Parts: sequence; structure tokens; C-alpha cells
Amino acid sequence: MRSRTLVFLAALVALGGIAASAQAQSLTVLLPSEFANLDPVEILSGDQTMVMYHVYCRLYTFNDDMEPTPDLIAHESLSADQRTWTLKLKRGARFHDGTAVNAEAVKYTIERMRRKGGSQRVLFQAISEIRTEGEDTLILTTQKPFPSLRNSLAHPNAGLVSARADAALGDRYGVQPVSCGPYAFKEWTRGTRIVVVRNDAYHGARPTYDQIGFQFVPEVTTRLFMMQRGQADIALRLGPAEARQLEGAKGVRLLRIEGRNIFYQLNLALAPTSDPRVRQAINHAVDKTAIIQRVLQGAGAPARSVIESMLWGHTAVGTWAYDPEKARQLLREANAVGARVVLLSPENRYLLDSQVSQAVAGYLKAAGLTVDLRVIGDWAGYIDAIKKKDFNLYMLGWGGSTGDPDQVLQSIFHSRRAGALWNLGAYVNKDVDALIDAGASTFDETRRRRIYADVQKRIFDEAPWLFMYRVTSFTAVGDKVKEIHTLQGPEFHYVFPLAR
Amino acid sequence: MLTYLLRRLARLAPTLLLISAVVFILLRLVPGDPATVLAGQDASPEIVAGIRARLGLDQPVLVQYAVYLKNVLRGDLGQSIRSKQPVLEELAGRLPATLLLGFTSIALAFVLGLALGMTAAVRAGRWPDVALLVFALLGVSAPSFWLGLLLVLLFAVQLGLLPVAGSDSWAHLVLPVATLMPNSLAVFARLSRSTLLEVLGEDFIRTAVAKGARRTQVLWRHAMRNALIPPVTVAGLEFGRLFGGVIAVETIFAWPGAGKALVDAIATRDYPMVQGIVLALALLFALLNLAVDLLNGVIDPRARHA
Repeated sequence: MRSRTLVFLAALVALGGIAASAQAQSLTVLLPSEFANLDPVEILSGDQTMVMYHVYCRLYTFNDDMEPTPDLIAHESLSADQRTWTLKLKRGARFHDGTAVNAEAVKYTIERMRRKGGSQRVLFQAISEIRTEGEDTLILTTQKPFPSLRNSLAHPNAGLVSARADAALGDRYGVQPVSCGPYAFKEWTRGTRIVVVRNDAYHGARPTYDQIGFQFVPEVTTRLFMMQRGQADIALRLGPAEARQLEGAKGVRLLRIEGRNIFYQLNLALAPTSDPRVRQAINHAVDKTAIIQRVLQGAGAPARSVIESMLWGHTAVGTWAYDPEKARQLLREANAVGARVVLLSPENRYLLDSQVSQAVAGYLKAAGLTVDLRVIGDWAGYIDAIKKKDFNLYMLGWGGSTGDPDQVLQSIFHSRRAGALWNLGAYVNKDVDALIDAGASTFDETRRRRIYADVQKRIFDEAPWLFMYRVTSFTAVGDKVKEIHTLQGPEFHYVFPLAR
Repeated sequence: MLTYLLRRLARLAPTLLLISAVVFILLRLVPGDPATVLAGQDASPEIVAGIRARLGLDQPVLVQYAVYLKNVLRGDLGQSIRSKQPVLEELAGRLPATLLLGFTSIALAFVLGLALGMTAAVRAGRWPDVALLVFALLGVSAPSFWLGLLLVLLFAVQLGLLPVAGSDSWAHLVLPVATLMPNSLAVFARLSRSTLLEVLGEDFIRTAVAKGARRTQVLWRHAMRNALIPPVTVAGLEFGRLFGGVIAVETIFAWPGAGKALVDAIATRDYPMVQGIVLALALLFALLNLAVDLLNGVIDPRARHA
């Protein structure tokens, strides 16, 4: 009788163990927004990226410092003229549909991106020719020497596409993607969740979980409540108020993430911000530290450059000190006391954005400007408004999704883009252009760093932005999550180990 | 009856045509265009123009509308600009959740509202009546985003009785319905109270009482049948109001309905999705009001000949 009881108890314990381990094998991740599809040719959001990181594999991937490291690459070499890359692929990797991940598949992915004309084709813009040699060798030629090619190939939107699945699925590919990441797409219940399952044939380290459910929970308070109740394992993008609620909570740890660099682009083509003294005055007029403390509730740190610390090549140039007296004096010198400035602000795009803009408007008024603050609630309408270029300041945030400064400098400061998105403030400086071009094609890291330090200093002194802050966002992580990697800046998260 | 039904159904067509035209034109008047959203931040003007041409947005609005109308008549609501999936398929994935939430809320609000209203009417001026008036005031004024979070905090976080959010089981339906319902419940309760009070003062009720009919018989057979007409009529209109509140409730409870999808589609200027959802909701609203009118005919034979 006693032995029967013991067997029964042992069975119970074993069953309990199995149940516990079965539970431990699946994760629930709360994402703030649902996106329309997971096709890498489309524009990406941080939430989309988290799913894409798990489903897609790429030639390179980012390490925790956001430096590109080989994933599917066995060997790389660069020609003497630094324009031709010979990339030898690892053997044996397979797409989730069983087809081989080979040089031809990479070529197909790049050509597909170009054919479809998606917003992310800019990633492969530098590549002028793609050739394959045998099964495993890919030869990429760039128009000019292009040192950040690895960064582009590590970007989430450089995910490899199975040609067979793409042909079979057509327009449905975006809603049931097939790639070669550590997890394979299983299902997408619209409005509810995406489920991915472990890819047992993954070429890298074995993924930890059997299954991950990415659940869409738009309301931040609901994400907080679900974490408190243990109904989720990871909750993305919590605000400072929710983070405070979770501080010290049992079974939950908080990740503090340095997110986007938030700033106001100033219009250099429109008075009064065309006058450098007015731009300096605006930078001196706003107390960023007070805004961070009172409006953002501490969730930020003053910006120090146009390239922030999450990007390679960052230099902390400095901060514009809060000096209202100096601001007033500069405005007097520029004969701009009482001048009208138009300030455009989005709402609910960045953390407490419209509230910050109201505070900024208050500071500018106190310095002696007449402020016309226009808050535009939806992003499409906001883009339309800033494109009219009748602003003096508009708010923008930049995360730097390739981990390389070239992307942000080309987009915002090169005169080639003056007057177009995102150099709508029409910043033009031929010396800075030359430095950006030199940085884009310099392989020597020390020299490249020097170039970018110079660029950052020059831009900072010209005050083409009202420099604000690097915003902090919070991710809540439950006990069950053994491993989580986060890339600061663009806020990419993934829960699998890198290929070794 | 059949002629009436056919006549009413025929009258639906111009209504829907008008709605589709208004939505189509309004969407194109709103600043912001889907091509810019789709093209992303690094797109050149040529790329944006290419996307506009691919989506047919470079055509005159009237031509676009004619093409759209022709496709709708063939049962094709177009393709979502963002997901590239047929709008009809997207609707099939979203509308059932909204309908489940909406119908459950309105049905419960109707039954409970009537019961409360009746109780208050037969005890007019006494404490149940006063309690109802206070409750109705609160029910009408409580905003759903506030009430929803409060209910979650109490029943899901503090007491742990119900799940916080999601849509995986019947338990997930309880809090969204409890959030969406009070507003309509208050309307039904107040309306049925005042109507019943009015009916109870009518001559035919006095006659029935004088004839010696039992109190329950007077109430159920004579008074209620007449007092039902206004709440039933209002039920059709309440549906429209309810769908307005559904967006906040779907957001709080991560409920996979059409309300949240509509907001997302507007934000990204996904024209075909917005048109599809609005058209589907308009059709639903029109059909519900038709059903209400038919029901009124059953309750009150006079309505059939009106």
C-alpha cells in the first residue's frame, strides 16, 4: 500500500514537472500595436521587428552592442578596390519550407526587394551587382567602397525570403512569411496574436522555447495589468508611470532602454530660424533637464549630439545650457523679439510628445518669441503638414536601425536631401556633405571615427535642431524569460542566442 | 408584409450608395496619403508617385469612385493597402468579434434595463425608483475607457476573478460587455420606466383594473406590450451609439474587433479598409433598424399599417 502511495506521489510530482516545463516552454509577449504584414520590403515598426527577428534569418546579425556579426556567413573577403565582397555562406541552413538557404536565395531576396520597390530597398541601394558562384558563394559589388554593407545586411528588413514560398503564396507571403529564423511562423489571428514555433532545423544555437505568442495589446495600462497578473512574460514599451508600478514587483524585472533621440528640426530656409542666432537662442531658451524631470517623469537624458550613444561613431559633443538671459539677448541681437514661430508636434507618436511640445512652447514664449503651436494627432496627417515646410520647428525621433551613423547623416543632413524628407529644415553645408560622403566610403575605423566626430561637432555648432533628449522606454520581463537581448536606439528585442 | 419588406430593402440601396460616396470623398479630403505612409521615410518623390499610380490614386476621384463602385457591385471590396489581403477577408476576421461584443451588450442591456425600469415604475417615488435614477445617471455619464480600466483593476487585478484582456474564452467577454453595457442599460431603464408610468396612467389600464383583472395580468398583458414599443425602437439606434463606444473597449481589452481595425486603417490611410468597414457597419445598422421596425409591427399591429 505504501509503495503504491509512493508511486502515485512520484507520478504526481513527475506530471507536475512535465506541466511546469511545458508551461515554461512557451512565452507570451505583449506588443503595443498590430502591423499589417511581415514582408521585409515594407516599412518596419519596432513591434514588427521583434516578430521578424524571430522568424527571419539574415547573412549578418547584430550583437548586443549593435555591431554586425556573421550569422550565415562562413567567410568574407573584400577586393583591393574595396568594392567587391565575396561572401561564402555556411552550408546546411534551410528555410522553414525545407528549401536550401544558398547564394541564389540571397540574390533572390535582394532582387525581390528592388522589384517590389518597397520602402526598405534603400538598404541594398549601394549594391550595383549581385553574382553567385556555385551553391555557396555570393559576390556583391558596390558602386563605391561601402563599409556599412554588413550593417545593412544585418538589418531586420534584410531577412531572407524563400523563393518557393514567395511564388506559392504571392500576396499572402506577408501574412504567412517563410524564412530561416530560429522560430517558424505558425498562425496569425487578426487583432489577437501571432504564434511562432521553434525551428528544430535552425542553423544556430537551439532556440529555448517551443512557442512564442506575440499578443497585440494597444493599451499600456492593460499591458501593465497583464504583467502584474502573470498573464504575460514580456511587455514592450511601458511608460515611466507603469514602470514605477512594477518596481520591486515579485517575478518581474524592468529593462531600461535608451530609445530614440528626440529633437525639433529647425527650418533654416524660413525666418526667423534661418538666423543662426535665433537657433542658438531657441537651444538656450529650453530647460531640457526640467522637461525630462517633470514632463517625462525622469524617462530621458539630455541629447549630446545628432548621433547618439546607441550608434557606432557617437561623440558626446555637449549640451546647450539652459540660459534664458542669453536666449533673450541673442533674440535682441537678431532683431527677432516677438517674432512668430510655427511649432509642429505629433501626438502619441513618442512618449508624452505633445505635452513636451507644450512645455517647449512655454519656454520659447518666455524667451520672447510668439509661438504658434500646432499638435497633429495622426502620423499621416503630421507628415503631410511638415512636408508643407511652413514650420519653424517640428518634432522628430530617430533610432538608427542599421547601427551605423551613415543612415541618419545621409537622411537628415546631406544637402542632396535638402527640402525633402527628412532634411525638411533644408540644412546645407558643403563641407559636411564632403565629410558624410567620406565617412560613407572609409573602411579605416579610426579615420572614420575621426570624420564622424568632426561632422557631429560642426552640425552641433550650427544648431540645426533644438536638441532635446534620448527618451527612455521600459520593457517588463517575467521570471520565465531566461534570455533577452535588446538593441538600444531602435528598441529591437529578441529572446534567442546569437549563432555561434 | 412581404411588399413592405421588399420596399424597405429597396430603400437601402440609395442609403448605402450615399454613405459609400460620402466616405470615399471625405477620406480623400483628409490630409495625408497612403502612398507616403507606405513608401517610408527614405522614399524619393518618384517612388511615392509610383506607389500612387499602382494604387490608382493618381486618377481623378470620380474615376476612382466609379471603379470602386463597379467592384463593390461585384462583391469585391478591394484589397487592403497595408496587408495586401482582400478587405472582405479582413472583415471576416474582425467583424464577428465586434458583433459578439455588441449583440451581447445590447441584449443584456435591453433585458436588464427593462427589468430595472419596470421595477422602478411600479414602485415610483420609492427607494428602488430613486436608486434607479442615480444608477442611470452614473451609467450614462461613466466614460467607457475609465469604467473599463476600473473594472479590470477590481475584478482582474485585485480579485483575480477574470482575465485582464484577450479573447480566448467566454470569461474574456465578461469585462468588455460589463464596460460597454451600462450606457445602453441606463437608457433602456429610464425609457422603459417613463413609458410604463405613462401607459399605467392610460384609460384602458384603468378599465382593465376596474374589470377586476389581476395586477400581474394588467402589467404584463396590457401595460408591457404597449410600453415595449419605444425601447425596441431605441434599441436599433442604440446599436449605432454602441459601435462608437466599441473602439475604446476593444483597445482596453485587446479585443480583436472592427473598431480598432477602423482606427488603425484611418491612421494609415488604408482607404479600401476604411470604406469596407464603414460600409459593412452601415449595412448592419440599416438591417438592424429594419428588423426593429418589423419587430414593432409584431408587437403593435398599428405600426404595420402606418
